[in-house]
Amino acid sequence: MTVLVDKSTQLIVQGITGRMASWITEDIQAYGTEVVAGVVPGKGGRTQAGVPVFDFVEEAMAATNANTCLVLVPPHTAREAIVEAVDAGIKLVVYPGDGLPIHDAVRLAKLAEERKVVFVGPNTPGVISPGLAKVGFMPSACYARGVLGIVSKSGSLSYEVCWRLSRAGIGQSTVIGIGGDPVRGLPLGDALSLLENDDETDAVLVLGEIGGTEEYDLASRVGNGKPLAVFMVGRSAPHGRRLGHAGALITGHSDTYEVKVRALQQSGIPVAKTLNEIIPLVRRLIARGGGKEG
Amino acid sequence: MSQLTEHLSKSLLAAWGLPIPLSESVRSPEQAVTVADRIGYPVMLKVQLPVVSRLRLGGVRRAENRDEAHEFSSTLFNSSFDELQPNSVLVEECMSVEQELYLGVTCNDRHRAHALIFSAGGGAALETHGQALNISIRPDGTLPTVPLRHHLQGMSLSTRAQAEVIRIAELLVRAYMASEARIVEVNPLGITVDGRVVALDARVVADVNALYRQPGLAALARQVAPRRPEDLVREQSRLEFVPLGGQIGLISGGAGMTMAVMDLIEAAGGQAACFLDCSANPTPSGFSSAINLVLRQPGVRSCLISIIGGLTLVDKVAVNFVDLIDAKRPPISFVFRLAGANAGRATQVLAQAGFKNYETIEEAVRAAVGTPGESAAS
Repeated sequence: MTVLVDKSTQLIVQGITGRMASWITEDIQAYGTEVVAGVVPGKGGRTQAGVPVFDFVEEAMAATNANTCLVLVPPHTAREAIVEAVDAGIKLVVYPGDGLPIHDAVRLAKLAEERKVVFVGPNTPGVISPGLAKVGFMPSACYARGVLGIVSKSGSLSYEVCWRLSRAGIGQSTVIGIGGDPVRGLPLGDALSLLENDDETDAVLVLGEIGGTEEYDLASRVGNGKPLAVFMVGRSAPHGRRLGHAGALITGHSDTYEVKVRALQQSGIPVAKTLNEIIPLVRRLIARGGGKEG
Repeated sequence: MSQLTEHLSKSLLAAWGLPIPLSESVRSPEQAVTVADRIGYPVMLKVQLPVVSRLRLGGVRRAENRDEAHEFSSTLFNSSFDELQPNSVLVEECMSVEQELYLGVTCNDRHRAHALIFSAGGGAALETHGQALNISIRPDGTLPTVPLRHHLQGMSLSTRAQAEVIRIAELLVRAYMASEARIVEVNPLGITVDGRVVALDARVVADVNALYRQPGLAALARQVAPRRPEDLVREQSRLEFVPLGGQIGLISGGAGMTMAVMDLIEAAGGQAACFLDCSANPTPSGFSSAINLVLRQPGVRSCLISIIGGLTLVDKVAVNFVDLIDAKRPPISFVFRLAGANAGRATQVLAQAGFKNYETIEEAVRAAVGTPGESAAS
């Protein structure tokens, strides 16, 4: 596979018969991604979006060459659906939903690590390799194929940034939504490693928010290969108030916007502080990476 | 996140075996006196509010006698702490404490593992105290006690107190794991002059996403009053709302983009009236609640509606807002930037109602910051 999703993606949609899930499935098919089956307990034997529905992931695996699961079920059944996919041998599971209990997120993160499975989510639009495959519900029109890899904690922000980049002729290799929950599956560092090892990616842009300590880990990655830059929102956010994602709470002094930006810049990572700083910064980044913009 | 008050936290943890001081929750200064008389002076008077740093906010007083119990509790009942006024005050026996410790159980988000945190010198000193001991909880939910035992041996604690601290650490871990909480914390855990170990304060923060399967904890969470306005809004209409005091209303989708737009508003010389993320409820009723919230913010003169739809079809969003604005006729101007799925159709819908759908967020922000309060609709 390229990074996570591409032409070899064979997708099972868990929860496919739900109203939103069937819409998302059709949108994914319209993008050219191959959906091979659906899994919905108790609805095996039906057809949805032109694909067979099974009661169990194991049955769907036996009948198809599925290698990826998109889990579109409510949060109180999500843990079991994801564990079922992992137990059946799926190596990439994407759970876009929000509302996953933190203790379930911890269990799933640990399981994914033990079984060497990539678990993307929760609370994310998913993963897209423009022009190749889409596993999620990001708006297709915002994306174009190119050489910039992107890792984002915010879905809405990734749509806006990719729309601007695509309009400016700067395409994307793979856009990975790691999600905005405090405990997530695929960590920021692992997502970066995937893009760093991808020969179709020349440079990487990270879309960050205030809160959390992962941004500091970026500082230690400079010099590992591909040029890296960050777009950090939250400059105007008031100290001490929770804004949106549970992870986006500024508490101690070390977490302020200014301190994080300075730390990144001092370790050689360019930081865009407003949306309109992104394009010029990315052009310089890709030039350093030695590739054309795509 | 859902924070229980001290009293509710102590009740929950006492049921698991946590030793707590003698106390009773009261709802008036008269009740405070009755209880204080019964417990015996001096007593501590502590506001029961889901706020952090009560001490720093003046929400904890010590009363030496009946007059002080009445006077101080009256003041507490009539004051605000971080914008919340207490419904209840906890009247508690004063403990004479020689040493203070910190014990907390939470999930280390970065390592994605539950851990016990222990520190000597609890209370307000925690933030400045460097050397916290961090013990990962085993996958089976139990606490490895050997690292804690080694650590306690190096401190000046009696053997009995050490054993008691370990017992308390284990029960806090059990309570945390069983209730799937976000944080379970005793700060400070006090060692009295006669060697007793007692929790002077306790805090349980529930995970709202787990409350559906934690009936006991959910029942306690429902008892927390008063609640922050933004918590009530979140519960009632599933909008994420934080008032910010500016004049530019903002209705947006997605926390990241909402923050990016707030930054742009500031850069354009304005200030957002609120952070308002309606991505969890992009429906007519959600948008209606959103408009109402914006209109309630003092000094609002315009409202920017910025939504990029992935799952959300923005032509439907346009129809919803046009209908709502037509029905409510709010006395402020509305500026739209709807992008993403079905954006083209959204532009048509808005144009028919006399609104422009700005192509870029920068243009929309400039329009919102620039326009004083006339309606943009023809």
